[in-house]
Amino acid sequence: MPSEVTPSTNNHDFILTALRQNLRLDSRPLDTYRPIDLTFSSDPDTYGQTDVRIGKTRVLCNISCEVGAPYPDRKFDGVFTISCELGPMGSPAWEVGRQDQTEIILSRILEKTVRRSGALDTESLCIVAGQKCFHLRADIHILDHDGNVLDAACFALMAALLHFRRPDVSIEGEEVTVYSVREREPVKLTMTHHPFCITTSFYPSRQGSDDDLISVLDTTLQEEQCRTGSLTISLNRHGEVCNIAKYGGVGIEGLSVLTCVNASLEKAKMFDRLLKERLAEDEKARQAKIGAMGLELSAENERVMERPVG
Amino acid sequence: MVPEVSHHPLHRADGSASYCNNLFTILASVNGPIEVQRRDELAEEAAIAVNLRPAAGITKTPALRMQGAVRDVGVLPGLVNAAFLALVDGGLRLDCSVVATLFTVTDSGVYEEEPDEKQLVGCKSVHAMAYSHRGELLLNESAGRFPWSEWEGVAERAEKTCFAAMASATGDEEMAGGVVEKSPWLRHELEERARVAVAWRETT
Repeated sequence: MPSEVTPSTNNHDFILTALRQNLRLDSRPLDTYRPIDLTFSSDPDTYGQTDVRIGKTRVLCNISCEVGAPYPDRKFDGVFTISCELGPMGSPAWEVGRQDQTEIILSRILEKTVRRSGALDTESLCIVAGQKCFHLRADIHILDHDGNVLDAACFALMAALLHFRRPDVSIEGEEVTVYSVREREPVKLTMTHHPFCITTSFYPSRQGSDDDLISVLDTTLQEEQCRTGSLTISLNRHGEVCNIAKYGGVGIEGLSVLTCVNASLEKAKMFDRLLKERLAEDEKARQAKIGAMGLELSAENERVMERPVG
Repeated sequence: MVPEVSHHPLHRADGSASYCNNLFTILASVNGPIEVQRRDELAEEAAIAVNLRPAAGITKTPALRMQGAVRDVGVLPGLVNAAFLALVDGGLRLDCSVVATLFTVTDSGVYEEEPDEKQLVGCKSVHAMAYSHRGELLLNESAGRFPWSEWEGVAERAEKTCFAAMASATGDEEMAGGVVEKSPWLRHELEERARVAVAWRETT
């Protein structure tokens, strides 16, 4: 079974020495992200499909929904599941059917950040209490793995949730009608807040000492393989922290956690701004497309405006 | 209808290609040669593992997937073409070139090549076929009701379509009709790729 190629001792030492001098292989500052790109599906009828690229890392998120029965113990809630299965497309080390450490961490953190923090109001997915509700499914596909998959996946998921529209429904007694996109304008999901994951990686600033740590944001795969620890903070733009996850053996002081939260807040704001910007752009592009067709679809008669007498 | 192809859209996989026809957009990636699991090992041959991942849903192995209905036959040619382009991109040794195509037959017996979604839903039978450049039939999957004569009609047309996709562009037949009906899209793609691959040699 293939596994990820680990950097050689020389490579490892080179990266570490460079980081101690505030240098990175791609010459960006330690607290900067690689260029982030977010695109939506170009089909005007497709909602909730996002393609996020952070440098060479690429994640695709697809949201789909269908009508089903709610869980018997949660009659007023819809069902929301996140599936992040890793496949050999992202990295040859990932196999189908064998859960990898990355996959477990990814699904666990996304679950806590988005689902358990109540970012999505699942009650709005309920159609008839105890009988019918929407099953919302988010599929995350890692297409290219070059480090920092977690931040990219969380961003893709949030973008997809904010972009997605579920079909409109009408209820008459027991009868539920689900309308297609063409029949009725689909409905946006109700989001309570927009959390993002920001991962900080730690490196020892001196050989064999864990007292003083260098913190680095948005690591590439190579840098990720050399780190001694990482701290993933999930928070929204108001600075409300939903989850803190620390991995790796190194100990991190309470004070540096606070510093990390503050630094992450800046990045969360950046993610939020970018997302809003792109959503507005996409909305505009869609409106332009629909506008051209709306003219044809319109049943309204042209009215001759008569000049008022006088 | 010429499919939209992009070569090597991914960085990590050894070979990748995205293929977009009027039904599906498919992203294919190939890793190889890599170490194989003990139980899949074949003494004298390469073992090939194929995974299909729908945009929504879990990964399936093709054997499970093939038991499906019309829509699944509809996706086959795209998958074959995408996989072939990814294999070429990965530089893996291949025995032959492959092109797959999809045909539908309507109630009134009209043959439609590379149908769109509406035609696929409204048709009487659907046929996915793939040919090698030597003219061997490599894939033959059909769904729906059809007599033998109809299958023969499809096979004949499919063979022509597949050959047209691989035909050399310098032939006289292109000029004969005045209008080029079927473009040799696969040949164009592969030639273009080969040109890009050796471009460094020409610049130095």
